[in-house]
Formats: sequence, C-alpha cells, structure tokens
Amino acid sequence: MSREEISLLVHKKLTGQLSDAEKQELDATLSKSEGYGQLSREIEAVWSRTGALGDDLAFDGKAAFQKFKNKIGSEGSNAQTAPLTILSAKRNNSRMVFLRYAAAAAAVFVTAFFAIQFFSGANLTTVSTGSQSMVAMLPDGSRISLAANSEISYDKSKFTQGREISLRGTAVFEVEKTGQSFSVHTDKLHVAVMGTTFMVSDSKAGQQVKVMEGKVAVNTKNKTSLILQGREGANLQNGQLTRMEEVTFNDMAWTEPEMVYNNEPVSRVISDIEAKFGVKISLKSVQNLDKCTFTSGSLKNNRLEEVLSLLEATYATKVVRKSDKEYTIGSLNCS
Amino acid sequence: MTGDKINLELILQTNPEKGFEYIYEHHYDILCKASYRLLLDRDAAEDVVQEVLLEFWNKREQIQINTSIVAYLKRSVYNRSINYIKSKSRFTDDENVLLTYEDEEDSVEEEIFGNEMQQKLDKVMENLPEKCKYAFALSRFEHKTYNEIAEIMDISVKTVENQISKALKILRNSLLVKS
Repeated sequence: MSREEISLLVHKKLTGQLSDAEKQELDATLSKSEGYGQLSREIEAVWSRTGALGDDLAFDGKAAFQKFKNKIGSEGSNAQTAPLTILSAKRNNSRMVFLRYAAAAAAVFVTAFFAIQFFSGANLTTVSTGSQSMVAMLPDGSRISLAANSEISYDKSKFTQGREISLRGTAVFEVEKTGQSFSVHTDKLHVAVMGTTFMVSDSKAGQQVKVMEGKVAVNTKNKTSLILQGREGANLQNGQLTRMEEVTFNDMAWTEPEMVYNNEPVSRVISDIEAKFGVKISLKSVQNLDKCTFTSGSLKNNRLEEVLSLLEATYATKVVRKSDKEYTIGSLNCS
Repeated sequence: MTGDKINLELILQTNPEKGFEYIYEHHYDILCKASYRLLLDRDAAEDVVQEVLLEFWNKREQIQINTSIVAYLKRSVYNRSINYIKSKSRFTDDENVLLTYEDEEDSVEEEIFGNEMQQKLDKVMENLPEKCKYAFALSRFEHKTYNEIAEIMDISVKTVENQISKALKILRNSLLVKS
C-alpha cells in the first residue's frame, strides 16, 4: 500500500468514512511499520491544526452593519412589517393580571404560532401566541416574552404620549427606557411600570404580582393599589391586593430558551412543560413522586412531543394524548 | 438589544432593522469565518456575507425558511462561497493538476520556511492548488463526504480522493519543515 493510499485511509477514518474492511486494512498496515504510524500521526496533526483555521480572525459586525445600513439607505428606518395571519378583533379581557420577575434570558420558541394585526384607523398591533411561548419586540425596543395562549396589543402611533399595552394571558416585559411611561392593562388591573423589567401573567391558578427589579404600581378596579419594588410580590384575593410574605421566582422556566434539568423534581418539570406549551398534564398512577427526578440535558426549542417522549423513555412509561391540550402520563414508579 | 437568545423570526417581522442589527452583532463573525474557511480570503468572505445579508433583507418578506434563520444564512453563505470559488476558479483537468502539483508544493514549502507552525499551515492552506484546497475545505470545514464533494465540484470520487490525498501530503510536509 502506498503512502498516499494510507493517507487517504487515515483521512477516511478521521471523517468517519472508513468501512470495516478498510479499517482492518489500515490497522494491519499501521502495525507493520513505525514509519506508517508516524505518517498516520502527522495526518492527524494536520487535521487537528487545520480545524483552527480562521479562529484567530475577528470580523467587525458593528462596522459591517453600518455598511449594510448605508446600502439599504432609508429603507431600513421606514421598513414595514409583514402582515401575518389576521386575528379576530374580539378581545377577552376577563382574566386577571400578574406581575412576576423576568429572568434575564427571555424565551425563544421559534415555532410558536403568532399573529400580528394592523387594524385600519386604530393602528392597533396584536401579537398572539398559540401553543408555545415566544419573544416579541415593541417598536421602542422593549422585549416581551409572551407565554403560550397569550396576547398583547398596542397602538404604536400613541407611543409618544405613553406606551399602553393591553394583555390577555401571561407576559414578561423588559422595558426600554425612553422617557415615556409604560403601562399594562387588563380588564381588572392597571399596572403602571416604573422599573425596567417585569412580568405580567394571567393564570387560572391564582392572581399574584412579582417584581424582581425596579418598581411597579398595581391598581385594581376597586381602587386598591400597591407599589412593589424589587423582589416583592402581591396576591389578588377577593378583589384585595395583599403583599406576599415570601416571593420566589422559580416558576419562570418557560421564559428560558432551553429547558435544562439536572436532578430536578419531575413535578416541577411537568409544571414547566404545562406553562411552556400551554397544555394540561395529569398523572395516572404515581408512587413516590417526591423521589422522581429528571435530568434532561439540553432541550432546546424542542417540540412538545419530543419532550414527552423523553419523559416516556426516562420513566419507562406511556404518555397518552387525550386532546390537543391534555395529556396523561401513565404509571410513574420512583423508588 | 439585550439578551443572547431572542426570537429572531418575530423581531424580523416586527422590527426588521433591529433584527438585522442583532444578526450582525451576534452572527456576522461566525458567518464570515464559515466563508473564510472555504475562500481563505478575508475580504472575499466579508463580501460574500454582506451580499447574503443584503439579499436576505431584500427578500425577507418572500423567503420561506423551514430551518432556523441562522442555519439558513449559514447555508446561503456556504452556497455563495462555493459559487464565488467556481466563478474565480479555472479548474484544470486532473492530469494537469497532477502535473503541476509537485512544483507548487515545492514553492509553497519555500515560502513558509521560517514561520510559526500554525501560520505555516494556514499559509500552506491558502496556497494549495485551487481544486485541492476546495476539496479539502469541503471535507474539513463542511464535513462533506467524498461523494458529496464530488457532486459539489462536479468531479469523480476518484478525483476527490486524489485531491484530498495531495492536500494531506502538502500540509503534512509543511509540518515537517524546520523553522
């Protein structure tokens, strides 16, 4: 076998193209001579070193963006957004509003359904999620992590007078400082924002407000109000706003782009999946649930079916789909 | 713009310029490196990436993307880099490449004498015969199989093997040159 042929076999080995027969042939050849072994090592060194090609280069994205802006001219600043699916103008404002802390990283669930509508005359833009949460960005640069089955709307033409956002569902707001006020409204609550990061949520589980940074003013229809500052929270019960004694922020996994669990209680994992995908998951039969833990690795932008499949594999159980929004996990035996 | 992870798709819909600013800030470097590893020409790599992003800007409302936007852009950069190579290349037939190969190898080795090991290797990569460099880059940086490389370059698998073998020999020899 020539050195060129040996080189090629080593290259095939490095690129995973070596057949079993070729592997035997290569192993036999390399064992015959130290010179061939040296040749193999040199090729491996070449392969390793060429992998770093370009790593020491740095390309200036900011400067390139300026060139890009010059090329697109004024088109960029006047760019029109592409109208997507048209939503019904009918609004459901019957839910409550919550404020919670927004983790620094916001949710990214690219495949979620969303829709934007421009109502003629009113200039109202509506963004809705379907079965998955996602991140939207307001014209002022503020970011909104919108939970599954939620909706916001706003009139950007009035932003110069104050940024007014209507909410149905749950959303985290990271407000860009512009000098204009920022308010979130639902049917029963009006939240005036004096901080920069907060979440407004809407859930059947209860009504509460949580703030990690900054300051928010929460007002109810019956004129009760509270000012909440960083790491404070409040519950809304029977129309009364009461300050929470203890505020935790461990229920925000749905805002994270990746679901990563390392020995976490499965009950929490299920709760996160419900929030992230807007579904209800029930357990059919459970033994020692408190001992059930889950380690996932990274579940990045996964579909619901993939996550449920991982649960099935982990616990040797079966997940049954009862409807679009309802799933049942079979027996969980955690000893 | 804050945060590392955003829904680029939605931002491009609601605020295209901010979306592109994000792309330039977070992905321009990696896109340029992907192109550079095929072209081994810094300016050409930046030109390719700018062209891809300008085209994406102009067609952003018509393009249907089934993968992620970044994956789409990387694929576009890769394709455009290949087109660039093809437009610049004057590939000779296999026999001619084989005939000129040994001479080029010698001149390359002389040129790199005295440089640091890695710099030598990069320089040698740049100076590989065009077809040889292209086949090796597709294998090393795009992880293409011989069959895929043959299809992309419109040559036989046997020729791909020859080109890879030559590239390995030239690059290996560059490691052996004493500084």
